[in-house]
Amino acid sequence: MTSAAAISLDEVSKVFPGSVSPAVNRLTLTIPQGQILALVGPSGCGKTTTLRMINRLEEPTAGQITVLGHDHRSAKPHELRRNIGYVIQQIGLFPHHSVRRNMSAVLELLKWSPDRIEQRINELTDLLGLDPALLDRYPSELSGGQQQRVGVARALAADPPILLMDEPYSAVDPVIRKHLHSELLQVQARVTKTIVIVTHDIDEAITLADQVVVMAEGGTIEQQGTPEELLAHPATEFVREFLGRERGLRRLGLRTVGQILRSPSRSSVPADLEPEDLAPEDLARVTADTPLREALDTILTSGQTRAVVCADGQKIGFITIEHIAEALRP
Amino acid sequence: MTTNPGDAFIWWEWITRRPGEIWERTIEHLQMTVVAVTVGCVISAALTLIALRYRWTLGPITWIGNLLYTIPSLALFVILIPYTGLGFLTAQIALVSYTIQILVRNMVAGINSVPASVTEAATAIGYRRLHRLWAVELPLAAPTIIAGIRIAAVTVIGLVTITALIGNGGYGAFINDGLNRRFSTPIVLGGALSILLALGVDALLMLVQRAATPWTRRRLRPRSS
Amino acid sequence: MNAIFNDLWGFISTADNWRGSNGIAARAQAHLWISFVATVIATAIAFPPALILAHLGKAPVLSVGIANIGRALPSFAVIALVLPISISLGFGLGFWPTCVALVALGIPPIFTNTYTGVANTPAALREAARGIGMTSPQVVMKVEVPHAMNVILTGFRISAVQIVATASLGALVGYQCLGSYVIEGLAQPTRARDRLLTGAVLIAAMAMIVDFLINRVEGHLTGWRSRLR
Ligand SMILES: Nc1ncnc2c1ncn2[C@@H]1O[C@H](COP(=O)(O)OP(=O)(O)OP(=O)(O)O)[C@@H](O)[C@H]1O
Ligand SMILES: [Mg+2]
Repeated sequence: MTSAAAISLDEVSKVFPGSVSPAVNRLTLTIPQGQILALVGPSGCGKTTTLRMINRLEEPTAGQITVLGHDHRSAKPHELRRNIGYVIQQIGLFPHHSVRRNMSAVLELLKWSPDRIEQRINELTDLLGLDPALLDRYPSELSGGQQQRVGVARALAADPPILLMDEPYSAVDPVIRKHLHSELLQVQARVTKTIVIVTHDIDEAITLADQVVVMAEGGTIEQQGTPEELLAHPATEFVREFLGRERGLRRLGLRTVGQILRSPSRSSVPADLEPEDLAPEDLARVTADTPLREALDTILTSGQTRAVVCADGQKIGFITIEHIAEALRP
Repeated sequence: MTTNPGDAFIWWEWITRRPGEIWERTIEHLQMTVVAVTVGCVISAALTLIALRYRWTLGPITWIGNLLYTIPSLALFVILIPYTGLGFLTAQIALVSYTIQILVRNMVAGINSVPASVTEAATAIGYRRLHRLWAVELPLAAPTIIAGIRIAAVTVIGLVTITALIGNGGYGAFINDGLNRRFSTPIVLGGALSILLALGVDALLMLVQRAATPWTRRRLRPRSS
Repeated sequence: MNAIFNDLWGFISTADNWRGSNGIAARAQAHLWISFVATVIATAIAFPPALILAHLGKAPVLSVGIANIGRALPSFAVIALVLPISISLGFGLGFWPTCVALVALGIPPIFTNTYTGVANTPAALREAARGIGMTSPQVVMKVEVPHAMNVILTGFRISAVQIVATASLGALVGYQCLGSYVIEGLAQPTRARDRLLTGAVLIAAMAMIVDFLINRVEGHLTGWRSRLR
């Protein structure tokens, strides 16, 4: 992730007319190309306002915003917006258009040919795992989760390099949310975007983001860093409180079994022992992709202190509670 | 001059002898209605645009619309006579002024009823103001706007009959004729035709509204699984 | 413009035009009186059934039908029809025939607005009222009517203004009122402009005053709404 900044905010402030205190106060932020950045913070701290300033739905009262290398005031707002996908908090699908036309809304504005639009819609349906039978329905005929996906499809339609998402998954149940998370990560792996996602859900931020920005009341940045950095070293009491109690467990969620098996600090595993010798049949099994948090849970549930690591049905090693604890050590 | 045998309330023969006149009056009545409602729509649309763009004008515009609506049509006809004479123009000015309150109210309410999330999404996608108004807000406001047009059209059809007193009238001419001769048949004929025309136009506009806004009819169906 | 105003002022400012049974004062009074009587009767006829039907949730089709017919009913035809009917039944002309026509025109707005206002009371509000032990009449009087008050009053106002406006046409069927100036003026070949204008301006003024006064009452009775915001 060494590429240039896709979006940068320089000392950006927003004071709404009629209000004395700023909603966003001298915010400086750089978002590298291809990264997912999560904005978290208490209600009213200026997250939505920050997003809206990036696509000029709101004009900053001070400071400068650069999008893809250009001062973002140099382009006409509507042209800028056509290059930035925006998934708004309340979804906001057009009730009078079919799902298909909702998805092609931007493409029509960009005057794509019908053939090309058709082809793009097929790609999008595929990319987001939407049932093609839904395409000719109206939004009111979809479930909340389906509407959500159509909203994301609409934002992705013109393949914009930047995607802004405002609490996109707040309205869906935890199971679907988890599904949509892995979907978004898969999409991101296939078509790399610069994504800014606003959320109240700290777990969502940790799961999705490369960078997390914790904002505080009054629109200032409290701390910025990778999820790992934030969980390991919360800078202030505010951040500590915001991240919640289970910081250790949450950090375990960030790493997989495979990562610590490969790590050189795995010195406690005696090299001369064959996995078979150490792995009686009654031990629980995990795989290299299993997050540590889940692996720990598996071990504890099995009533043992270790588990077998398998790959393609082959035992390749084992993992103990000590290994896991060690992973959290600096 | 015809005589009414036996003083019957309705003398059917008098009616069946006049298909040509009835047809002419129908055309006249429709013409006056269509012109008044169309002009009313154009003016109201302009006023609505102004009211949406400059919010402070909504109060004054509503006030003037209400005032025009409150002035009885007969009085307005008469007040206009010195300026525009007896005839079509006077009748139209009065009829149009009557529609404005109804139409502006419904247009503004329709546009305001569009969910903020939808207009915001449209802006974020890159719609410009007028394009958004045309492609997003107008279709979503259509049911309310057409409801206003229906009320305006039905009201105007009733009022057109009064213009018979200043030399126009459509079906009102029958009523006026009956009144002058104390002869009930043309009065009933004029009144009944006017009601039928109003209900017919109302039904037609309702069909237009249904055809134009298919998304309002399909509701969430039961989903499988 | 000036000439027109002079005509109008000339007629109104002549004291003789105010006096006598055909004077402005008498005609204005007659105009108001018939409007008042017709509005009261229309309310008495339309309000109770609308309230009861809406409370029971009965006859929604009837209410839509009355609304549509009411709007489609041409006032001119209704007044005109009074003439032959009244004559053939031997009632003569004047107050009562006109009043009957006005009542017929005044019923639909009151009925429709009362019905819709009451029927649109949120179900939760009704449930809550029942829940704290209100009887049916109490629910109507203490919950539904107050909730629907501004819609009901709007219907009442539309009715009253419509009645005041249409009462002018009573002049066509022999009732002396402000409309008489207009009808007389139109009937004269010279179009007696002073009478015509006087009639029109007085009718317009009366409609606006009635509208304004009921609006004030409306604001007064539903003041709690504005304080909600
Ligand atoms: N249009 C506006 N006019 C005036 N003040 C506003 C406007 N929009 C937002 N604000 C204020 O700006 C501050 C930040 O609002 P913003 O919507 O950005 O918060 P948020 O962080 O997105 O909150 P939430 O998590 O609740 O969505 C709030 O205090 C809000 O009241
Ligand atoms: Mg927000």
